Amino acid sequence: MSKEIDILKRRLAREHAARKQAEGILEAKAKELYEVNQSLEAQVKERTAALKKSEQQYRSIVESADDIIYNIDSNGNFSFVNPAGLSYTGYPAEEVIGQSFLKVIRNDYKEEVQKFYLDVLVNKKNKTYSEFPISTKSGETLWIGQNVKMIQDGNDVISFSVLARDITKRKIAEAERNRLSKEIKKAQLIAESAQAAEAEFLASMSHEMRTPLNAIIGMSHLLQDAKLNEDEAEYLDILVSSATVLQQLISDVLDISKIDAGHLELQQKPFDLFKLIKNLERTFSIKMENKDVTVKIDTDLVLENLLIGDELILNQIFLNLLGNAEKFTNHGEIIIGVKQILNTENKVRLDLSVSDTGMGMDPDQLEKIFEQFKQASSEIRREYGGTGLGLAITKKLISLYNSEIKVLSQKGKGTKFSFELELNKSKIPIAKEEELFVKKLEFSDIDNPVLIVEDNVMNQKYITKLFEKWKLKYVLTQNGKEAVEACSIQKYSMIFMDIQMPILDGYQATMKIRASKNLNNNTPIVALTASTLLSKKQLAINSGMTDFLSKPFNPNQLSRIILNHLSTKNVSEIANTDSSIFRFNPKLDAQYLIKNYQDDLEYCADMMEIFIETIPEEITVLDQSMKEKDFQNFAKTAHKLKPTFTMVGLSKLSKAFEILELDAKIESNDAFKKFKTLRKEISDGLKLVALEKEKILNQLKNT
Amino acid sequence: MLGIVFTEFFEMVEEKFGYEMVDGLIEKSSGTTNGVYTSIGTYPHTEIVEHVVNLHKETQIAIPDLLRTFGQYLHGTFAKNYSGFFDDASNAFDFLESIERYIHVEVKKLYPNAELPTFESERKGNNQMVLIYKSDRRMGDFALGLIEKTMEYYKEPADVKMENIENDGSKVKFIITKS
Repeated sequence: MSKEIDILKRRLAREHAARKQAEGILEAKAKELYEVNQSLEAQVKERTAALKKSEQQYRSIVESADDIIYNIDSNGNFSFVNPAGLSYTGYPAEEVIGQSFLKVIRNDYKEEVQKFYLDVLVNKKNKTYSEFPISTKSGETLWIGQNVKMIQDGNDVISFSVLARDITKRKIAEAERNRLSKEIKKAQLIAESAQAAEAEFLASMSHEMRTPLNAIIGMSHLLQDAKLNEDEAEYLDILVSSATVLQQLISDVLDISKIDAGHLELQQKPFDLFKLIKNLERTFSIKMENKDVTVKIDTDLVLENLLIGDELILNQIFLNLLGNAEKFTNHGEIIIGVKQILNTENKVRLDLSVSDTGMGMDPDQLEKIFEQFKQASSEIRREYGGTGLGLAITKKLISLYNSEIKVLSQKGKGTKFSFELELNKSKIPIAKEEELFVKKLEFSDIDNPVLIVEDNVMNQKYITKLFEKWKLKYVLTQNGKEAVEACSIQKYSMIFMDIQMPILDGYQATMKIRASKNLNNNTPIVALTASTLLSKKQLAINSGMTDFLSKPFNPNQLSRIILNHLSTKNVSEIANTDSSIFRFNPKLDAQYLIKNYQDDLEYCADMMEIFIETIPEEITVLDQSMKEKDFQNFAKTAHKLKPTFTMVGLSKLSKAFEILELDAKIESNDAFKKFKTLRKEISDGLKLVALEKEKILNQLKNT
Repeated sequence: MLGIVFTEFFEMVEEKFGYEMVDGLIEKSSGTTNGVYTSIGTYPHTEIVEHVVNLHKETQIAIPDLLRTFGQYLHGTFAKNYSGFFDDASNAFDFLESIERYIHVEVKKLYPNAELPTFESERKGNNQMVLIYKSDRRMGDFALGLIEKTMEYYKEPADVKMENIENDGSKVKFIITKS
């Protein structure tokens, strides 16, 4: 029993101890909790103090800020405006707080600003910037730029917090700038229109001065053909040279002003560089005939296609440089250099030059020559004349190509001008052109007359006299209207059309001729223009004209343009009108004959003799083959004869024999049929060649 | 070790063998606590091991059986005192999965120093689950009892197989197959 009591006692003691222990644990836990609580409270206190401090800081910033800070409640009334805002607007707080914000907005902007806030409110745009003018209490206008921040409670906007800044100074500056830029624009417009007026003035001056000058020069050319005594001839020479100088001067001055005004734009058109260089060589060879000077081309350039560039400008550059060389060179040679620096599939880079063995210059003179109206020395001007503009123009023209002119010169040895050009290649192959040379002209073989449309009586006389001299038939009309009428009556071989005319001008007349169905739809029309502006020339081409000739022009320029546009047959007939060579019968292929036997008429006669002797024999062979239906032999003989006909100028028969050969090769009876029909033409050809041979032999005897 | 294990252990011993057995185990104990345990305290793990070993000596019941029985017993206490955990799961497998990722997490919050076993679980189809028990306490049999009672609690009769992965019993695999 006592054991049980002991156990019970121990149990009680244990349970008591356990309860005590549990109480201790709980108490410890409670204490821990209390401490946590204490520390949380301390933290809250600390945070609150910090918050208060930061709010005070914020407040002092807002109060002392230079920037305007204000709040607007959801009804659009001011709920707070900082001192800067109050002093800025001039209102005391009691006059704005609780009042609509619109009160301070300048009247004309009230609607816009209201819309702005509505937009912020509806679209919940945060941090939006806007600028608008406000009206201060004293009625002054000030500008503010402000950022608006929405204060939201969940989805509801409860107020706007705004930070604004005075931007009045900037606005005034902006307005000033706008006003200035408008004034600049206005000034620019005035300047531009003045520039346009200047260009227009130059263009019309060009016309007004060139037209009478054309007449003066033209008439003096005609006068040179008249019988004059020695004094008269001298006066005339002076007249011609003075007029020519004047013409050059006008032309140079115009060129300079065009380049300076930026009116001269580089055309990008395919052109034949070799043709251009050869023409220049030829022109200057003639000019230098009286001097002991030869003009040569020195080139290593290999070209298969036309180059792309401005032929007119390149030509002018060379004309100026060559004109210069011509002026100062009395013995030796002038060399036109065309060297390739780079020659790729698509482009070439060229070293172009004009060198002479003339008087040369010393270094001092070299410095001046590219300046406008400056020449190497005053003696030069006295002795050689000129405007002193040529090289300045040349330099400017070359600069249009983004290149630079270089000069090398040695006193007494000569001068070399050179420049580099990079030109693109076109896809157009260079045409193998026949070279024709005209000294004295006669156009009597041209069937249709040339139509002249010109209102200026002096110019009419000049052109018609030249045409009469060249035995070129013509019809003269006074204006565009008459020209259009004349075009419906008969066909012309070509038309020369003045631009500025009464009743109907040249552009309109051309458009009418091109637009209506008439005999001259395709007749070449050449504009006679006193304008040197490229834009005017472009206008002429656009209206349907084929080419243009700048007034004043000399007989050579006029004849060259006729040769350029009349059909090859006519050209060839004209080409051999040079009495110093021989005039071939137009029924023969004169072009070929001239080209092949240019200076050797004896050789030509020999060839004709051989032809006359061999042909009858060969014809018999053909007859025999035809009889035996021997196609092979027929074809062989025809093949042999084919070039023989060409050799004596019977090109048409040569072509016919080519067809005979082909027919015979495929054993077609057409060969024989065609041969029969050719019999008469062959015998006529033989007679013609025999006659021509006699004529040649006669001429050879006489000379 | 959590005090509740001690209090519940002596609860069970008293119920099965009377307080005399409880008194005897405490008197024999070499620990310092002198049998003063409360459910909210924590006590050295070695003491419960000593009590179990002594109980085995007294009753001649195998230690694994003792531990398993204790597990079954403790389950009842848990189900009564912490019914929330059981209510949160709608079936036995869900509950077993929640031990590791939910219940032990909650226990840790209350008793940051508690050293708990880990229970990796993997379902093999609808009717089978593999549980990997890991604990340095090596009380797999105790866990077995808890698992068996859990299956019963959710009225999902099952066959529970126990395999040692580590020979010392620190890693044990349970394969629970519902019948």
